[in-house]
Amino acid sequence: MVPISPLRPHSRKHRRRRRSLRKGRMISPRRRLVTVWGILIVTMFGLSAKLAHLQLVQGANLKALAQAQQEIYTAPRAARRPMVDRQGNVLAVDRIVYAVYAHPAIFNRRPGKVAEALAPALEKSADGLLREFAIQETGIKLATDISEEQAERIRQLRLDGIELIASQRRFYPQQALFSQLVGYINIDGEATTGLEYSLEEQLRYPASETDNQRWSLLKPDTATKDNLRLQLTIDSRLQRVAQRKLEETVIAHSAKRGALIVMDARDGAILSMAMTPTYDPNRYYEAKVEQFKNWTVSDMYEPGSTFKPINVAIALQEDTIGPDDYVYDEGRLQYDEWTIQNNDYASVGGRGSLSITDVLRHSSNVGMVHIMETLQRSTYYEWLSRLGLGEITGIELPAESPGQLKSRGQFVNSAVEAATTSFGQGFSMTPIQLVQLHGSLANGGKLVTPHVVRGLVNAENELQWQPPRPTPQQVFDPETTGRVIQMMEAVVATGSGEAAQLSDYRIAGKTGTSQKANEFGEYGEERITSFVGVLPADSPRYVILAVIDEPYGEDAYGGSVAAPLVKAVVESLVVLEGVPPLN
Amino acid sequence: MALAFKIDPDAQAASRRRHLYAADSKFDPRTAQRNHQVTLLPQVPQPAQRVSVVADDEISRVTELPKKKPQLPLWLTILVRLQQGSTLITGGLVAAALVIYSWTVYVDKMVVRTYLQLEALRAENQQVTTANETLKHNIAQQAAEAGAGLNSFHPKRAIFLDSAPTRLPSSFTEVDEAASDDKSASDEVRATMPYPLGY
Repeated sequence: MVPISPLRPHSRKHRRRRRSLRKGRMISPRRRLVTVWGILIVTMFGLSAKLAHLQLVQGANLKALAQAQQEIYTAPRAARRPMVDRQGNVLAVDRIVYAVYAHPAIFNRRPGKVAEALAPALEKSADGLLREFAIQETGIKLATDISEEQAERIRQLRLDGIELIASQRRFYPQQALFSQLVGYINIDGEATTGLEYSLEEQLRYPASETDNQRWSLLKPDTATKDNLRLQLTIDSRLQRVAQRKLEETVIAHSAKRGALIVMDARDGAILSMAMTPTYDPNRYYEAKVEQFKNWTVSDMYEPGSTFKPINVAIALQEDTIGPDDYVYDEGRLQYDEWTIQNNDYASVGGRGSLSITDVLRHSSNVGMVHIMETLQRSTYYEWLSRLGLGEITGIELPAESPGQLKSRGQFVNSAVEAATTSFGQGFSMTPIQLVQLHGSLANGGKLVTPHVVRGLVNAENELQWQPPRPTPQQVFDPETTGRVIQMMEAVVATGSGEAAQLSDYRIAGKTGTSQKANEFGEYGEERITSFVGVLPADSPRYVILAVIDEPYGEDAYGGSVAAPLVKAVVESLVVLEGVPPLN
Repeated sequence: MALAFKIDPDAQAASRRRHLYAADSKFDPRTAQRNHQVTLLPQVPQPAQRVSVVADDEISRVTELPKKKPQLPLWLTILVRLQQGSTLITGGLVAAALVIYSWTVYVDKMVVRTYLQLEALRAENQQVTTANETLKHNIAQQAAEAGAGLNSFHPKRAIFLDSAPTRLPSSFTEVDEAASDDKSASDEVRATMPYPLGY
């Protein structure tokens, strides 16, 4: 019998297994451990290999995929800041416009039906569109400069194969009113004229990486478009009035062109700068090339009699004459081969003894010659240089011409040069420079810088940036300028500027009619008429200059052509600026 | 105490017989007795049987085994506590990490959505501005034409007023001449009218 231990197992199955296992392979614990370890190591290596494969082999592809997933396409953003006028009316702003492309390969209807549906939205004929569809299979440009409303209508049609591509385009809501001031942007987004060109650095938004219309979370757009606008000092209500009246005058006298400038003499801010002929910057391609330039800053002319008050101020400041002195007016003078005579010499002849005020009132050339003869020519030349003749005024508009003054030697050595300069001929300046000089008479003797730009303002109208300007220099004493303004008031009250009178207002002014030099360098038949007004005469504040180039007719003088224009503008100016009448 | 073995001779013999004979199933002690063919094995030494070892005087009481846990050394205890604490902290950190991660995803989504809203608002602002300005210009142009029946500016048709000196809002009942001389007092005086008068 088999000796049995009392601790024997109970079940028969277990007994059998124990017997079979006893035959051979029993896996030791160590082997089990090694197996598990081996499996884990192999798995680890497998994962590393997959990681290496993903990163090194497919890395670039996956990164591109991820980037494409994370970036969002945004609408094109404005490239330039808007321009606003003194009241905040927008003069230039970016606007989303669409270009319409057709891809006939993916039309889901017959091309005829598509053309019929599109024709009213694009304002073209259906037959024309059908012919365009036949050109090629994809990428036919049907129209550009489609506005948002038109684009919405086209989208409502739900046509396959019609694509709208957005872009930003500069838009000028005021059309032809500010065109020479503001300039225009051409189809490539470049500016060549006006403030769009000269202040491009301030107008452009700072460039950011997302200008290509893709915005990514990983590179958020930190250079956000700010809300700054370029504010001008121009008042668009006054500009509208000035432009209309100027155009009426130019048409009435069949003149070649005209300009009207209104400046605030205290700081040089220009309230209105109207020019004709003008163009619509939204359709700049329809304009003639000579209309693009702002001729008040880039074209020179001989100021003529409008320069006489400044000469009188020089003489009074130098104390070579007194305000109550008298000069003798012969009516005609001879300098070697040149003859100098008054405008009305043929009818009136010499006037005899005249006061300084009368010299201005009758605009006597010979009287002016005698007044300026009291000055030494070198002193006179120094004064002209100090007043800035032959230099630019520093206005922000581009292409400013500096004016022409004869050289010092030529001026000092020749008596006739000083003589012609004393009545405003023989040298040239731009209209804006004449405004600056009369502004110095108006504001008590300071030579201010005329400017059209107030600066960059934010939404609360706070100034964030101002263009740099030199401090105004004092050139005359206030007593001198006060006396000259009194004399100019007499010109309007009883002199050649009577057409500029406005009841209940004291206006000071001076007319000017100068001959234009023709292409041979001689004085021809054509004239350029002007009138400069200073308002109100008791405490001068505004300077208005009207220049009409080549008015038709023998009786076209500053007093008859330009002075009524100034009066019409002054009527609106006093109301808009709140200048009260005398009573 | 004295050890005592309880031996039951009869029980011992009976159990021996049972052991000896029960292994062989063919053998039946009752029939074996009849046959007288019993073959007794030689006496094998008896394995010791389990007996209770008790003291003579304590045989009625039951003593329990000590239930105390085995005493671990101090460093092991500290280690165990450390492990438990760090497990808790890890669990908390994992939960916090998940929360922060999901929050960043939410924030990103919100940023994208808000940015698209901002762009849409900007475009709308542009559109409204241009439409407004075009309208203003058209109206001004129409007004300027002669047939519109509107008058242009002229000082005879305008009323010129001197601007009033600026005053601070004051009580309706008091006439603040005295207060306006004293600037600090007028700063403290506030409008006591709850609503503006209807002029």
